[in-house]
Amino acid sequence: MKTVVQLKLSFLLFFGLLNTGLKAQEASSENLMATFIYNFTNYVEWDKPSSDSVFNIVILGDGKLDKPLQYIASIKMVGQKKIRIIQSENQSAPDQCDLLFVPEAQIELLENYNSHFPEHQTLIISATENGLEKGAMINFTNLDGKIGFEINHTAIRNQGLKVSSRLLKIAVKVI
Amino acid sequence: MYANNSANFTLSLIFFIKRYMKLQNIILTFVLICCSLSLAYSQNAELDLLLGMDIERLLETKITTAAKFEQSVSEAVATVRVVTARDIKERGYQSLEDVLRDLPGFQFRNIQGFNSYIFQRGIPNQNNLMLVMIDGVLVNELNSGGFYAGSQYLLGNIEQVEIIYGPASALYGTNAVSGIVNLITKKAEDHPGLDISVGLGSYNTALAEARYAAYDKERQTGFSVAGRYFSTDKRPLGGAAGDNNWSNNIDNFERDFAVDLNASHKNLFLGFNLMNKKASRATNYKTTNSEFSDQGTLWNMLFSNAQIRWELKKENFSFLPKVYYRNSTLLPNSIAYADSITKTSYYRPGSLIGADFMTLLKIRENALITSGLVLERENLAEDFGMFSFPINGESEKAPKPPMKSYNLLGLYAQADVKLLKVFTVNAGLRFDNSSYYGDIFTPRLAFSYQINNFKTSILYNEAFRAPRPWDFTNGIGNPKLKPEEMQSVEWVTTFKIKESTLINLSLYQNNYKNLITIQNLLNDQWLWTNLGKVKTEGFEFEFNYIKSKINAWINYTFNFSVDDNDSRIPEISKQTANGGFNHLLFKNLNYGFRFNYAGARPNASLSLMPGSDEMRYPEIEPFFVLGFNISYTFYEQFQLKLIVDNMLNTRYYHTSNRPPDRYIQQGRTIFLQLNFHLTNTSR
Repeated sequence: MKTVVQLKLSFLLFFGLLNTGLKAQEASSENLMATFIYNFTNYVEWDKPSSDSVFNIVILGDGKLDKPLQYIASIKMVGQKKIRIIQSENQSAPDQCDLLFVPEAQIELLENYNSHFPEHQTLIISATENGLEKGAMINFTNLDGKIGFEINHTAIRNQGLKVSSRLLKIAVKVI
Repeated sequence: MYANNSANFTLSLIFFIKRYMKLQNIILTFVLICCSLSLAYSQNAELDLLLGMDIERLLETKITTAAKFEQSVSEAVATVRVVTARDIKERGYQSLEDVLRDLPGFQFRNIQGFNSYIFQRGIPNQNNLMLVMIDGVLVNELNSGGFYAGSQYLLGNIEQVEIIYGPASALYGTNAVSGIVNLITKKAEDHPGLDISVGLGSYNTALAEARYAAYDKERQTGFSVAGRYFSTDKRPLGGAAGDNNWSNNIDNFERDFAVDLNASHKNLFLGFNLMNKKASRATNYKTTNSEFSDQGTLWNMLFSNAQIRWELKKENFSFLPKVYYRNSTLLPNSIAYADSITKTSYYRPGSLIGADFMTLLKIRENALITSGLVLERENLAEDFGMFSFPINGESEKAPKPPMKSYNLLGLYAQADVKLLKVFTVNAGLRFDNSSYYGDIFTPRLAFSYQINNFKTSILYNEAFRAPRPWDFTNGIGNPKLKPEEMQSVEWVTTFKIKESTLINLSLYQNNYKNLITIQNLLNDQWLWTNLGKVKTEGFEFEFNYIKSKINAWINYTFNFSVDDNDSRIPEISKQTANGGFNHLLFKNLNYGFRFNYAGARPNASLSLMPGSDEMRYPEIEPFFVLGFNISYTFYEQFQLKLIVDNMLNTRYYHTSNRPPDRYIQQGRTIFLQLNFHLTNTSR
């Protein structure tokens, strides 16, 4: 009987804690990055897209962004185009790619991709230290628990892409 | 069958309410609170919210560690190591032993027969000090409590294997003493498409595995189906090849069959897996100069698990109820042993139905509470059903043994509280009430300090292994028999460099006491009693480097286990080491080497049978085994893979706890595998 009383007290105390209030506004890094990536498509202009009907986003490797991007693709469009998410697990280059996301674990493969899309323009985004030096055009950074991004404006221009001044203004760093 | 199970479960619940009248208020309070908190919400509510923000506001949004909130319960308990699908594929793993052999802290007694035994952190056992799960549901054999090693696991359908080191009874109850292995299957939404693998290799080894998965993102509905057949005749052991322990005509095989079915609709998940392991039992006994025969035996184990899982997740709260059914049956056509006159068939069914109502709650920014209620009812054989028949006569199945039901109620709660951003305190408690082993409280306590990529933790864990129901009554009986108990202290430090390099050092001391041991009395009487203990001290060091083109690892374990007389525990080496790498040399060519080393081990037969003829090998010598793999990908969807195990053809042995007094291990094996992979890239 004493055990039961102890248990009751423990659980009342425990569930009492549940009502001490819930704190809100934060987001997972995956959801945040996926939302940023979608936002970038509103601030970058593609003159030579890979397709007239579909906007192709390629994720290299077993990316954690696949799920949130798939969800975004199911409810959002880029201009008048539907979004197609391609997860390239076999490390080979896809034929059509407007935006390429390279996770940190795959960054070494970026060298294979930089000269791989002669027919159309590709915005390359990474999330790793020194991502811009390794060939990315936009690189995510983590500052005090918040996600920021840096831009290699030269590389974007060399690709023939146009980037909005608003995006350049809020970037952590522009080179 | 499911209708019966549903009825059984309802009856079980009613039984529980009646059985635990004193606890009913707790249960009802728990269920009411859980229900009130399981509010309707959108799975993608966070994304919807973010998509409604402008980009400047996104920059102001703080990152939560989603992995923290969604972490499996196990991750909070102790040192956790992970074997990924990439590791399984690159290194060509085909069995549970393969999955664990390159990790620190594991040693093996592979008897090259119907089972092999895995010892984690220095305690030999009958596979009953570790829990093995598939998607969080146990697959340990119900009657003995021990899991089966072998190749019956559908490894092509595994996303990753989480291995927990150290006691975890504070969350999982009995038998979570040395650690936990959780095989997590691939989700249809993450891996849609078709995969087929076929392979052939040494010792008539053959593999066929297929998986198909589809996912409709608009309906948020998907399914996957996977199957595996694996067959091997193992190393020939006849005559001199097997150190003259068995006849020239020994038959020694393993034939495995497995099916996984998974389906999901929004937050509802259904899973079913079936594993059949058929293996000869010829190596259990030395047949040279003995009454036993090494032909015609069969150990035919069938495991089937089913579960329905529901996930309600919102920003700060998850409610994860799960109902499951387990069945592990030694089928009645099993032939446990044969001699020159008779064969003896065995039958031992066992089933369990249970439910786990787990909640995860994040309070403010610094506390995570995990809690749950477990209800289980198991129906076990009181003994083997046995039948002996003439060796030349028609094969006879064993009769069904008497069955008996037992109940378990478990309540667990655990809190992770962050202090000053860098300290975390973790405290947990589990209460178990079993209808045959009574009440047990299991606590745990941990402190950790984390700054950037450096984390160090001190853990105190307890665990227990309850006696089996018949242990109380066998022989002259011992109603005072207590569970075996473990107290463990561990200091673990992890340092990460740029997400690609991981350095880990664990130091531990375990005290395992009240060992359930057979005690012989006068007049041929005996009973099970709590006698003896094992003290274990050791450390594990590991270095892992993972990049897109290279995956390298090396680890070293020092383990020293002694009994209450300070004598060394048999079968455990002081030192083991593993290492290797896989390298993507060209775009389509991947190759790798790996090694396993174990130092000398005292043989168990020395302590079990002093003075017997089986004392030829008081110590088993060290071994160093080298492996190689190479794979070539062509036409994007095809991969040809060559796996060479024990490439130097090293002759090496594992220990034994019975005659024969040591077991020779596999020689050089070559396995050629063709993989086909077709993914739906457009979904």
